[in-house]
Amino acid sequence: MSEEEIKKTIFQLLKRIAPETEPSELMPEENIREALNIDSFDALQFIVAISEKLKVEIPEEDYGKTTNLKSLVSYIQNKTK
Amino acid sequence: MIDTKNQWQKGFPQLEIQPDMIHVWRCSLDLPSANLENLLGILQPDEFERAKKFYFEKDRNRFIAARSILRSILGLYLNENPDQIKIGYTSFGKPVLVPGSYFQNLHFNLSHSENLALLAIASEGNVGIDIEQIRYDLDIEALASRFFSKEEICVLEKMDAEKKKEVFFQLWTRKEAFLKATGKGLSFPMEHCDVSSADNRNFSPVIIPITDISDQSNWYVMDLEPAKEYMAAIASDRPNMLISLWDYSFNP
Repeated sequence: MSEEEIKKTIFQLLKRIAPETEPSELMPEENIREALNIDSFDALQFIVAISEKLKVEIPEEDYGKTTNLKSLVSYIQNKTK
Repeated sequence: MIDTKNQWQKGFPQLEIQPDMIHVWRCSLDLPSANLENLLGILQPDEFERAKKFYFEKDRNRFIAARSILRSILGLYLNENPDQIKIGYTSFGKPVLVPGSYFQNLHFNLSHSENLALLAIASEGNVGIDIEQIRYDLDIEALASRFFSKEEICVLEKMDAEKKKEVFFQLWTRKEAFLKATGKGLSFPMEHCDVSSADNRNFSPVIIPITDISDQSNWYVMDLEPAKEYMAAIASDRPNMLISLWDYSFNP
């Protein structure tokens, strides 16, 4: 899956949990939860959605590696290689 | 144990907290805009930067109110101006008083959901608190199957649809309060802790596999009743803490 496809899916999933925001305007190194004001429920719903849609499981110990768009895309790319 | 029958009291408690006590403050976060202007002066630069990043004004204002109220209440206990309170962060991001800054060390934890905040303060022991307004847009089955223990899922499955939502949020707040008390936050595997047997009368033990907590501490959790449509819980590493509940009226 290309970087662009992964980003597109991430934006769709973020838009679903934070419908009034514009995830596509996220800066690559901006903290996603802070920028979109995503609470812990939505953060974990997002993790579940990533696992359903992209078949990538993100275990708790890796949450710190997926806090911004750049690191999340790279994490997913590595897991789907 | 709650010191009165789960009643929120007006006024002020004795500000020297006994070692076996936790004070819990309940605060509304929807303040008049004139008050909010004044509050900006209380925030520190990192909080100010964080406030600027909120997407919605309502969320920004509630963040400003929550941080200002936190500083104001801590200031009462420490006899310090709110803007002078030195708040730092652990490596997992839990806010704490900067060690060694005060004659009296206080443990605190803040949680807010929509327009309501709860702040727990203790002089001894780690403390964590969580409040959530019940939401109706969550896929609770998906969240429970991924993040709840078998015992918790079992409790949930016995409930009818209406009660299920409430019980889900009660279990969730217990787990979050526990994770916040440990200071590890969401990095701890949530499904490994079991809080299915807690209640709103006494602290009950959190069941955790020994391998998951390296320091071997025991943790305890209890439900709180913050308001209609909200669920909340508090956690501590001390089993017999007495809780007193207080309503905070903010006058900056």
